[in-house]
Amino acid sequence: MPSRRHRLALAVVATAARLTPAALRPEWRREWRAELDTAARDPRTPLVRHAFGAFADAFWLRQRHVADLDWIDDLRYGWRQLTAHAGFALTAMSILAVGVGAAIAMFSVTDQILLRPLPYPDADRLVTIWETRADAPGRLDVAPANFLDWRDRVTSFETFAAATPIGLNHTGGDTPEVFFGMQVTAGFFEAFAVRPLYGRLFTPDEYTAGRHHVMLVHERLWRQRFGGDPSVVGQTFTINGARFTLVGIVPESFEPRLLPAAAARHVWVPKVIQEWEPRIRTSGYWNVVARLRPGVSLDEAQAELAAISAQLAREHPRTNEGTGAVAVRVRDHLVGDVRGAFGLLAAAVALVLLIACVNVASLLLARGVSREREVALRIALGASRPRVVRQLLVESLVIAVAGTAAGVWLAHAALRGIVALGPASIPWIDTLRLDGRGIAFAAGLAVVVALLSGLLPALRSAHGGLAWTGGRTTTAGPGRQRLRSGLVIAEVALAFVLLAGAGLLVRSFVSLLAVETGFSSANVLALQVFAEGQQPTAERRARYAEDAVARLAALPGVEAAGAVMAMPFIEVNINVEEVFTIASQPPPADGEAPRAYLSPATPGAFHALRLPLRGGRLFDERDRAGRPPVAVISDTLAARYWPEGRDPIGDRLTFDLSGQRTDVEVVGIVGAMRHDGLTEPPRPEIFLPHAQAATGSLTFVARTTGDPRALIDAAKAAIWEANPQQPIYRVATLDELVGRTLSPRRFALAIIVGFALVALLLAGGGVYGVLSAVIAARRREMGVRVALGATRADLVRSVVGRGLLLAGAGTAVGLAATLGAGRLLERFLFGVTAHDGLSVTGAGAALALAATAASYLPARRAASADPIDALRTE
Amino acid sequence: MRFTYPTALVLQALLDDRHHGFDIMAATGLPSGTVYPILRRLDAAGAVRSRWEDEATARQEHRPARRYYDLTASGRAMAAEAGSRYRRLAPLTAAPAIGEV
Repeated sequence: MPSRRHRLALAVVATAARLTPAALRPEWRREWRAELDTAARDPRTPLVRHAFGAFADAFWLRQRHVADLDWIDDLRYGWRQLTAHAGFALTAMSILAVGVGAAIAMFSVTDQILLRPLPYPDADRLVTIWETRADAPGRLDVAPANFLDWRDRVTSFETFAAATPIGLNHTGGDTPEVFFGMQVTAGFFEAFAVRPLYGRLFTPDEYTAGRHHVMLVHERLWRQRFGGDPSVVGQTFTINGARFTLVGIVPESFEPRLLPAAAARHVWVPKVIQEWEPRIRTSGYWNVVARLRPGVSLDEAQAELAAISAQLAREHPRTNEGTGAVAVRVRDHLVGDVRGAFGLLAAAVALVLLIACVNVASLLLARGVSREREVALRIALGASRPRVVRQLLVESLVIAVAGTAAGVWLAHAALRGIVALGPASIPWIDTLRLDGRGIAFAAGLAVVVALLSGLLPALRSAHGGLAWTGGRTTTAGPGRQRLRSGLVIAEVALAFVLLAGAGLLVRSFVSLLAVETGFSSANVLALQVFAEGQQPTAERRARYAEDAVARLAALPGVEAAGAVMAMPFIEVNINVEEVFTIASQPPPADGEAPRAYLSPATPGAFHALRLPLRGGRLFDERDRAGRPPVAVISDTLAARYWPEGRDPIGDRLTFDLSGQRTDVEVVGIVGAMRHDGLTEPPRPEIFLPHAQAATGSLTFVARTTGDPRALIDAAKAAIWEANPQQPIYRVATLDELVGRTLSPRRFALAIIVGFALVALLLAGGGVYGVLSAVIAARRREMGVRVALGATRADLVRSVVGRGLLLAGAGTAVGLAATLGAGRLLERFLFGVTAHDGLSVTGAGAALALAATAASYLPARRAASADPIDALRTE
Repeated sequence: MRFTYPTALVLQALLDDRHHGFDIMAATGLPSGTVYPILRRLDAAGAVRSRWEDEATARQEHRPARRYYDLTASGRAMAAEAGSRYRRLAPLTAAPAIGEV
């Protein structure tokens, strides 16, 4: 039976136990009871006094528990804090969502396009080979004769093959249709190591005339067009007027957009090398793909190609002087062009993410000011500083996770936008989506963002801790103000870089829109056909073109109609470039022969495209087959080879046309057209009357009085009246064709302008935040200044001045960065330099405006400071 | 962790093989309201680890099992530092343990 003092001591401990955290209570009680029970055996022990110490113990544990919640409690507490300050939390989350969303989208693009593994064995050994020419920039398609010589002489490659695009007119169905296909030489599929899904690939003898009526179909087309029926293998189809047997299905994994990156191709037929092709060295229209031998490096292969090109230049100086060959890995060929654009995009994304983090850090710092009391209290109660930092970090983690969740949603939307609006020339862009790796990246990013934005403010707050001494100092000290000002300067600088970049791209775009194409693209409808199959002779092709043009011209709403072979801005342009001689000039030295693009055209084409006549005459009724051959040349050609004072009109030109020596008289000069894009120079071109050089590759052009799209059906019907079996390969308005070449730029522009605006908003928000904190801190001072006679205008000026000072400092830093980083942008610029004054000034002005607007609200608050209020609180 | 004089005393007591609360109180002469919060703080800082005394031993002595506190490695380091800071600790904690009187 316990003694009375023992019972009393136990009662005291039982009371104290109620103070302890429930989770610790049973063990705590057991510990104290064991001590008291043991100590009770010694009657001299002051049991009750000892028992009262349990209150101190219990109280310590209780307050420690409040300060030292575990992670779950931290989270719960963090969430409560955020919901209690929903405005702050929503702002911070939205800011992060924008930055993180952009970053996730960017990651997905990089991961799924730029770093995507190619679906071919040993893909690193796969290369594409292109011609280079001293007088033309970039990589050029390969002329057949050069390909054949390279193929015969190279030793660095296992397989060396070529492919050339072809429109395969399929007839015999309900309406004639076009399959977008490729003619391929032997070794093409072997280079890619493709295995057919059904059937077989081409056999070596199928590359010879007469045995070549076989075709392969891509799995995608097979599923869409033939319902995935394997029995279709072995069936025959009427293609270009002949019966072709479908011999196999090429699996989905084979990327059909492989060589000409512009359009996917789903049918393959063997390439029979025509009798005249081994003589063609100047007109490139083949794409070459090859597989390096194991152990041969790209550099070694490149060196061999250079040596062969040099040999060819010696053997054929007239055509091959300055012609080289460049080997590019297939991966680099596919994504090389977009890599630069995405690099720019990635830089913009990184900047926006950084600005977002800085802004959230700034917001957290501002909140740290109002939480100083709370933090000081916790530290006073025994919470360690690392503990407080942890709690604050958990709060920024909660913000980061919520912001990231919203960002994932934004990224999903952004990726759908990219799929819908992005230029189709980017490979695999249509398969872009938010995948598991994107989500994993987002999760990692959330942690990084939480640390980036939360660590500094957390350390700062915990550092402030015990300095709290009363109500007065709950405003930010000068150190914190300096830190926030520094962050805002950084934000303004980053925003400046983006704004200046956006300005440069906008200016480039405007300059580009001002570029003259050489023709008038408004109200022109273009319809491309490949009529060689349907019209096998020159006479029939000439008659067909004349008939179809006449029917088009007769349509109500058509002002002028014609047909031309080389159609500017169309995807599959027919580029036939030839060297020629000029009768009035001495024979040129080797490698210096004049070159021009040849293009048969009907008289109406000049009217439909509104090419200005610069001299002489256009084609007319006189220029028929059997009449003296004539030509009209473009003014760039005239300027290049007939220097001032000499008139090309009446001069004679001699060149090979499909292997035939042709001699023509120049009768007219028209304005030159750009063909491949607004950044390309106007083309030196020789037009021949279609009646005298009848080709089946034609684009009909019709100038309409109203919307050309309204005439599409009537125009197609007119062409089918001329020949109901003639498939139409492509129909578009000329404005669409020109606009298509602008779409990558428009896309890049939209993105960077979007980012720049976000950055501007964030920077404005940053200035606002800092000034609001400054005003809150100096409210009393403002009151005193008003009491001492300062006018409200003085106060507004002083606050706005401070905002502009921040913006000015940021702009200076941003300007330095822009001048340094300008080089990165250079290849995206057109008509402006990277140091364009207007863009830089514009960026500065936009930021100054934003800073003024952001300063104005806090300034008005400052100006409303009440002197009485100030004096009372003093 | 703050090094107050009582903390140093408690560390010294633990170093002297005083393992449970009341024993440490007896060794240091500090009241329970001081010793226990110090033990809690040392526990939170990882300087001590607590365990329950072996039930069999306690039964043999006809008393309930008590909670024992042992210094961890970092606790020992702390105790050593405390000892060098407060040189006169040793004689102060040289009182006999409860049960030995």
